[in-house]
Amino acid sequence: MSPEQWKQVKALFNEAAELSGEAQRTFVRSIDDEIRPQIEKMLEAAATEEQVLDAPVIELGEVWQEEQIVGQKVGEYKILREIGTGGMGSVYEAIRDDGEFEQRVAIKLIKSGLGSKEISGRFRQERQILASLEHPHIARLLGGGLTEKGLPYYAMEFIDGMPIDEYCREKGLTVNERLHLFRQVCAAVSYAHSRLVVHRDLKPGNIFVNNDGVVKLLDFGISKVLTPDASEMGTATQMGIMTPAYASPEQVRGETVTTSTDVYSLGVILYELLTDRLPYQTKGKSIAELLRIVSDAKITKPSEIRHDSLVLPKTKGDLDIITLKALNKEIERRYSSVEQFSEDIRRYLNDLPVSAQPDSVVYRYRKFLQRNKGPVLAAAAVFTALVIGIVATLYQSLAARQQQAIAEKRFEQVRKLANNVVFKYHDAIAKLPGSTETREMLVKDATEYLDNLGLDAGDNPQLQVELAQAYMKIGNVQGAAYLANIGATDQAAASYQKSIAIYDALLADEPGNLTYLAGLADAIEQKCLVLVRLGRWKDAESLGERNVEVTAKIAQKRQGDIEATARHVRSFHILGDAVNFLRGHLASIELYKKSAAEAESLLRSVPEHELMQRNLIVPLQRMGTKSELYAEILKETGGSKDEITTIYRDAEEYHRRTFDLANSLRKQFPENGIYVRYISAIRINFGTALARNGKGKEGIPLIEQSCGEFRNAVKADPKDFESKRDEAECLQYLAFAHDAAGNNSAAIRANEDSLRLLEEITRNDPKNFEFLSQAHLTYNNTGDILFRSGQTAEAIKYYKKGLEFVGRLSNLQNVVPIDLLHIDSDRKIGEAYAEMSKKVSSRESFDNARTHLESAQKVLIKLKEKNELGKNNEYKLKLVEERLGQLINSEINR
Amino acid sequence: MSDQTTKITSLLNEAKDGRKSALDELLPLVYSELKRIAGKQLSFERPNHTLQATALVNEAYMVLVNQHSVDWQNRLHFFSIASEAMRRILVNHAVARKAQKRGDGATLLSIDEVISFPQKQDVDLIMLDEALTRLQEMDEQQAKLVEMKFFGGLTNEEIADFLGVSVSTVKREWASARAWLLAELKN
Repeated sequence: MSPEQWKQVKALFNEAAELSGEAQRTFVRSIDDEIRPQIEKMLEAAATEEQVLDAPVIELGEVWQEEQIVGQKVGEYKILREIGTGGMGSVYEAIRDDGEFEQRVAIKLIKSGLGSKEISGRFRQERQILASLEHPHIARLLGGGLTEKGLPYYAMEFIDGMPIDEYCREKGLTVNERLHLFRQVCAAVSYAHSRLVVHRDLKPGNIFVNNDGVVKLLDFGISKVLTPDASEMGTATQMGIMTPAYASPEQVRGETVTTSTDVYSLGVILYELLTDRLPYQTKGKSIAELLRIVSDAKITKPSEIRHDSLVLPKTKGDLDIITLKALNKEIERRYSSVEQFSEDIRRYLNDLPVSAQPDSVVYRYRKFLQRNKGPVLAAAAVFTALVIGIVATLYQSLAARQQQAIAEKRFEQVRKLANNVVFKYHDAIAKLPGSTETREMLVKDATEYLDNLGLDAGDNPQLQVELAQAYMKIGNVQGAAYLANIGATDQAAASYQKSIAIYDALLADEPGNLTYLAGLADAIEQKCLVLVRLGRWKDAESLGERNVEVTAKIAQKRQGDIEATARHVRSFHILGDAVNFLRGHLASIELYKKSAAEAESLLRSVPEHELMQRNLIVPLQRMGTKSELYAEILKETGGSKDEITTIYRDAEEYHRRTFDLANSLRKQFPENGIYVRYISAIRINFGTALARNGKGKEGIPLIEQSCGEFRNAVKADPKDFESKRDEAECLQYLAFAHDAAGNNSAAIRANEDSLRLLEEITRNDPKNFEFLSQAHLTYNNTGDILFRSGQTAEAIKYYKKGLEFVGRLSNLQNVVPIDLLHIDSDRKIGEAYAEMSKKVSSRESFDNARTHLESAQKVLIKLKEKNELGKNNEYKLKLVEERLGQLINSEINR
Repeated sequence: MSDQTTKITSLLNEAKDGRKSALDELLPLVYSELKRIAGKQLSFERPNHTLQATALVNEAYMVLVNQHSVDWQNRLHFFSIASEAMRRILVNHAVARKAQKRGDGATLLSIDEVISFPQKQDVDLIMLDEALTRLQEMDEQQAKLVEMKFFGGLTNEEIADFLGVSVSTVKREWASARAWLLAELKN
């Protein structure tokens, strides 16, 4: 719709919307046929109950809405004044006035990490339970919902009084009076536990004593409503709700919250009531310190703290024991219920022996052992506690057990941020053209986070492992083959190296640890792959060898573990990739053969193992391609015809097997989306191999099929540059095949199609190595076809276009030696001019040929001297020098 | 005052004085600041705070804008920019989720979430974004209004202030935009 039409539509819609019933219908009938359907659709939409657009996704104006809330109505309550404000939100005194009776209530407006919609949903779920908590010492929950502005709130019975600690101080209560008051608190908590509600946030600020001296607990069950569930939020997001000073060690560690958690918090409160102090100083402490304090620090006995106004009685020992038992760091050593806790206080008050006993030396020793046996034991301890404790009161399953420590949580948070930034946003924008720079920034930020985190992780092995894993993920993004700017590949190698270094350090302490070994193997493998892409062949080769060793070690330790064996098998074909440049195609093929043979023999016992099948497919596919490349070299260097034919025939067989295996894999695992692209790619190889062996009729349709698939992907999402690149590459193979079948014009057409796509994607992403080098290759290939068909001048044009792309590539960071691409261009252009100068004796052609060939020669020699030429390229120097010699001789003879 | 603050404050003032491109220059600054603050919050300096998108934007405002030299109108400008930033963040988020469901790049995507994005599962944000882009071509101001209202949750009064129109115009424009968008989403 044009802006003018829309103006008209809008005006008519507004007019119609003001009318209703028959008047509206009459009006609508009078509208032009052209516009009427649009108006009808809009009126219909406006009249539906559809509310998706009515609640905003986010409220930015929340802050000043809150400022203005006094005097406003929230639900059926009118806000009178602000009473207090805290981390969770602000509390207001409000009044309910429905004409019949007035009721004073406390309204809490909630600030929370959860969206308002989720909160209101949770409220609905929990309200029944919470509203059913009817106890003289629990403030009733009256309701809750969303304010008009969508802010979650809840209403509670209004308590005119003060927090319990203040009350005790102000009234100068004696120890026994305090204990009696405290038992009221216990009664309320115990009642709630029997109704399966855990408070989770007990603290003096939530325990009021009203003007009649009656205890009232506030906010029961609220913290559960406000705390994200493990299942909803992933691990360790249970932050934010607890108050550190009263949080139990398991809460600080982010573990499952049980009734024992409330016992602990009550212990802190009792300690505070008896001493006017907290058992631990938590103010201003970092999370790591807090974690250390709650797990290690010793608590001073209440009786050892001088208290100005309160004198603990002679039987102080028992009170110490009771308090410290409630405060025990280990759940199973605490009171198993609030009732028991309260009962011991009653016994103390009545001078009866208490059930709690001080820790024995043996117990302390055992505890020490346990503490040092690590997380497995901790998990067992939690489990024991669950069994011994009041299992019925649990909300969470053991499976939902959260991570060990808040330090880890923090770690987790940052890791997740890094994840979010890198994986979500990165991937979301990766397919958009021209997003390379933004992506670079994202990855850089995430790496910085991780590096900072590394400084904090200390020598906690679990955190170190997390860190190593995070570096792996970052590396994966930096090194993503098609998505990322190739400039990030060296950074990917650096990230993987950081991961390797962490695992190496961990393994120095625990050489046989399988988790570390497996992590190390992952990192080594990934780094090795990236080094290959970077052309850092020497490093790649030695790392590839290390990969073979490490995976062998794991496989040996995990006999019968097929995954571990699969990794080891794979290490051979990865090494095959790594040695290719320096040691040549034949060396690679040997390693691929070894890998494939191993995989094949293992598959006999586990024929349906997905990974193992892939372990066979990949080396087979590589054997095919590398054989063909080797045959190309033989062709250029005048190798025997028979040998070449045999190699091509072998290659066809390799590709055929690969293709069959891949198809069968896809049938077995139809849900795995990656095989679609996998097969498209393999089909191209097979088709090309057929065409090379004179079976173009069979091969070409296969390639065309794959090209069609990629084209459809492009049609489905015109911004999908990966698929465009795939289509471009596929068309190059189609050109190969047509060329092999002697179909020159079709070959050139296919290449032209490919080039159109490549020009477009390189325009959009001018720094992408993959795209640029594809374009270079395709121009050269087209030039070759023209050259061979005698159109030398035309060929040179294409070669020169190819050279342009080498120029564009050299502006990038040097990754794969761009020199080699340069050499190819110069060689081809030089040979073409040489050819030209043969036919038409022109000084210019001769000079051009000589310049380019010499340029190629110079670079070849330079690379050879630096030992960077590579086995597969050695022949090029010889050829170039021969050609130069011929050229100069023929010129002399002329 | 940091350079960033000075820059943003002056851009806001320029925007108020009618230089429209100033708003475009603001967007990346605000977007990246949102990200930076997210990182800072996660350093857990304040354990009682969960990371909330709203709080995030508010904090960005506090940090970025020198409040002595900007007025109410500027604050609205800022939130209009933030609405746009949130639209982008949320839509990208939705795109990523969708990609994840499709299984693209399965090895790279992580399901973890840290910013508690409001998840409006009942509306397809990607479709909405596309429809809104079409509306933008028909009526830029109306699209801005939707953005501020839906992606920023600003009130009619605030939007009226920002756009310099009456509240009743905002309501009327919202009604027709809403009807049109719903009809588009239905198709």
